[in-house]
Amino acid sequence: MLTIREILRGCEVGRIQTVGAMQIIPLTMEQSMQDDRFATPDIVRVGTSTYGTMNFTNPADKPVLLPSHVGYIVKQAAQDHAMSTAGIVPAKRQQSWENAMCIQANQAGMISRGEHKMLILPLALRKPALENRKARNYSKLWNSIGSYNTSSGLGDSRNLVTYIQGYERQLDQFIAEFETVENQVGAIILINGDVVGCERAPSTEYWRSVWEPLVRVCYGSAAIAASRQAQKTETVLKTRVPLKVQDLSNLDDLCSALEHVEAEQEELARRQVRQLLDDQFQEDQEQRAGHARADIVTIRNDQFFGQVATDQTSGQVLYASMVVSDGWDERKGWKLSKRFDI
Amino acid sequence: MRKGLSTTDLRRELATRTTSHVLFMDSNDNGAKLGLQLGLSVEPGLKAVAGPDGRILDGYIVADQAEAKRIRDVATSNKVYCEQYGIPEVHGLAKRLLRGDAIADLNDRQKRIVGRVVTSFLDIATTGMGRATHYNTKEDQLRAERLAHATLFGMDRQTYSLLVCLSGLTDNARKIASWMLLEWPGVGEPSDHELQMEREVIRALATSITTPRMFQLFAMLRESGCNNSRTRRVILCSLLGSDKLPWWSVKYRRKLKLALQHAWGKRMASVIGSICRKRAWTQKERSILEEHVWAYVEDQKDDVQECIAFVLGATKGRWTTPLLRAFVAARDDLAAGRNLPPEVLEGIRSKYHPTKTHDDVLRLTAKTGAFTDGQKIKHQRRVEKAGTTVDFDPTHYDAVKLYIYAYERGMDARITAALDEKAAQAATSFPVSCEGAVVLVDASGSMLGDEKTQKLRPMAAALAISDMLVAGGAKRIIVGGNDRGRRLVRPAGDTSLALPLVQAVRDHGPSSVFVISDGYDNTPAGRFAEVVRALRKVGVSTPIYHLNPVAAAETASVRRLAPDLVPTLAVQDARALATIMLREALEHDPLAGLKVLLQRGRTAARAAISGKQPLAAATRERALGAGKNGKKVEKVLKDLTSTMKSALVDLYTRAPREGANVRYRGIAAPNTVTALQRRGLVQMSGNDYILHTDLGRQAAEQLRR
Repeated sequence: MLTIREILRGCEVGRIQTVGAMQIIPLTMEQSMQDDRFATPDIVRVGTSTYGTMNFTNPADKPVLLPSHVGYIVKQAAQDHAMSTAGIVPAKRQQSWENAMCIQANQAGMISRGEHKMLILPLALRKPALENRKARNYSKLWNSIGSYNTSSGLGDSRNLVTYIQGYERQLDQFIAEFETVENQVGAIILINGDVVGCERAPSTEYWRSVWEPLVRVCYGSAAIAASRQAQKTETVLKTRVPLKVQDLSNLDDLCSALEHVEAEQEELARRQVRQLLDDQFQEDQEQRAGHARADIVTIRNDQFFGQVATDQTSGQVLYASMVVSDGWDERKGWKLSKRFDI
Repeated sequence: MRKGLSTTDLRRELATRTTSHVLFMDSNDNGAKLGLQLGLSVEPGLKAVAGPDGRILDGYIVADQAEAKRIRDVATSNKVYCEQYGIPEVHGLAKRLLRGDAIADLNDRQKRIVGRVVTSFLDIATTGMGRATHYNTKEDQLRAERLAHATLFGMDRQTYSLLVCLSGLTDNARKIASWMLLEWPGVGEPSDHELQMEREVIRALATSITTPRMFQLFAMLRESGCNNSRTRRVILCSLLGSDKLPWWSVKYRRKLKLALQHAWGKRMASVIGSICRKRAWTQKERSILEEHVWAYVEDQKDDVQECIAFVLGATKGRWTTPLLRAFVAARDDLAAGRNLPPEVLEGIRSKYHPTKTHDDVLRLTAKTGAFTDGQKIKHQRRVEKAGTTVDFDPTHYDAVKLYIYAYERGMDARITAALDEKAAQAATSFPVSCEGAVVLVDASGSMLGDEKTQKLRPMAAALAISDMLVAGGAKRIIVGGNDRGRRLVRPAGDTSLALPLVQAVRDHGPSSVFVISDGYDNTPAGRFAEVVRALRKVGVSTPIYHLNPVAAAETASVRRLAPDLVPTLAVQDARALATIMLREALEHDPLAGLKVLLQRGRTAARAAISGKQPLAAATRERALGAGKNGKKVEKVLKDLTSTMKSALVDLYTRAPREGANVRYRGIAAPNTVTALQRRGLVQMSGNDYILHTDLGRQAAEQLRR
């Protein structure tokens, strides 16, 4: 059975980046070990033919792996849509999904096929999206979007654009604040000191194409929510270890203190990650794509849910996108407590 | 900014606030009337408002022309905008500072705001390129840039017009400045000298920008409907008075046509185009050419007429101007167009010679000097693929362009030498010594810039600026990135400046530290500021400066590594660094710092004006709006009695349309008219009528002022 340790096999951990409520632990992999069987998802031409049906045309010579919960907010007078799952589009072919979701309740019209900018659904919407993935009902996410906008202080609009526009400036800043590193293929994302997501791409090129949609809306939205909550309750975010300056008397002391605090900062985050490495996932196969020699599988355990793409022959994980489950905050105290021993 | 308050809402707002921030956009009187109803004293135009107790209330900003129009529209329905910026409007501030007056009508808060407005402007004007960055879209950047310009402009026009002459401003900033000064009318009663100075500043700005920016400026003026006489003069002087007119005619034919139509009006442009197609003219046609074309031209009049005819649609004709001849000949023989701009010849090729290839065009044009400097450096790879080469002289390019070229094509000895030379030159104008200084250069991933429009520009700017500091004696330390040992470091990875800062201070004991970075540290964010505080705590007082080569829309300025601890200076060009360092003075004493900048701006303005290639006297005077007869006007006016002056003004007011016969009976006595005619101020036309003359028009204008 899959565990996070298995899912991230082959990856190395990079230096943690911390800005505000969000922290990113980059995952890198040597070029020779990366898998380049997929073209990047930003090249597909996407449109809708009916409400709830998304059509993708892949112009590349390679199959395209659509990331989990990819969405498109278009400038056309058309109803924006998002996918309920990840998917694989064959090379030079077209593929449709009829279980897609509308994310813009008050807008009619079909999306004309074209290259549109991607986003990944906000973290809080990914669970209802995945849970309802089998339902063929284009409005299945509306209530969740309405609740989400309400909790974000934007009224009960069932239009995701309301959220995007309402927090546009803050969302854009996340793109600036976090930098991709050399050979990066994934990241572990923490919000306010807790792991909330784990992403892995087949290659650096693929990673660079999905990073912006991930950090901006998916995880950026969670960071904004955490910051708002911290402000409301006047609590200090748990992301930074402050530099202790009281006992410093010279530059050597300062250098040591700095090195020490940076090591402590890294260890704080890594400890969080170590705790979840061996938890096993239940698996549920979604799509078999023989042309890509890959399968899409939905995975779930106490803490996480998400999807992976695995090689059909070796079982190697090529792609993974997992986010933390609802209510984990309440459960984790007991789940992470030490097992009884005597 | 909140929009659309009703009168009742505004009353309520004013009643609850201790200070008010109100704008009236007064293209008509409605805003003024509303202000008076509210017991406020209102000045027309883009103005601040005086409260009931006579204090000047905090002022207001218009972001751009569209915003101004929107406000104007709203003001006509008696709604007003309330705005939060609180910028004091201090017309005449520049004049008063340069004169050495004490500025007693601004409180400390307002002085600090003045300082912030100027620093924000300098930050944007020295880094804003009007393009997307790693962080912001092009639209965000343009909005932020125009807001910074409009803010300073609204505060004090003369301050604005002097600061835009400072060295180191981007081409884009000078373009926007030209547009603002031409678009918006002056307020108050400027002196003749001030008027003259501003005209010259506008001309210096408009002719100092690159050709594409110049046409962008004309397009902006056209789109905003700005067609005052100064604008027309600037357009016509810039175009018709340039020896590049034939080149522009073939390369920018459509843009040139639009600009000329805007300056002359479509009808007159059509008339002029027809006249220019002819070889012989009537007296009237000659007068039209004198008035509208030759007044702006020094010599080469035949070329100018041919170019105008060509641009305004003449398709047939035996051209004598070489480039126009080549343009036509190339349709039959591609090689005949070898001196044309490559893109123009490529257009001819694709239409008339489809069997030839783009490579054929490159081979024809590469060696003839048809490539601009920009094209030479940009198309090296493409030209080589076509089997030919195009030489370029690295000393013709600024350091940032050379670095960007080197990233693409590799560094060689010529480019290295040119970079070193430019660094040494820039170092001589730096106002502080760099001996013993350390410069930390951020080479993290974000220094790559926007992939599509500004790739590697931040890194190139950082290297160019650090070269200058190194030439002045500083030691350079590259932080992050790949290939750090080489001159062309590759930006990569995260931003971690805190530990390198401490190590630099510990290991080198520098006299000062310059940190060149786009402004965000993320390992973690805020650590750099913590470390600076810690350094101060352990007794390190080394001055630290943050130099940021990237303007950011969301801050309407540049990002700061350590706000309130380390001054952040926006600089994209090493040559701007001197100006930017002076901006520091604004933080400590805004008005004193502004005075220094104004003095430098005034010096720069005079240098820019005197450095321009001198036009023929008549053309220069025409260009500057003094008219052909500037000095003569003054002399003749001295000679006039008050009766003659009054009559002159009346005669030119009653029938201002040029070329019209004005019946003078009933306006002025015959002997007065005769006296005016003797002085060339009118021309008799039959018994009861006169015609206007140029001299008379100029004199009447001057009297009306």
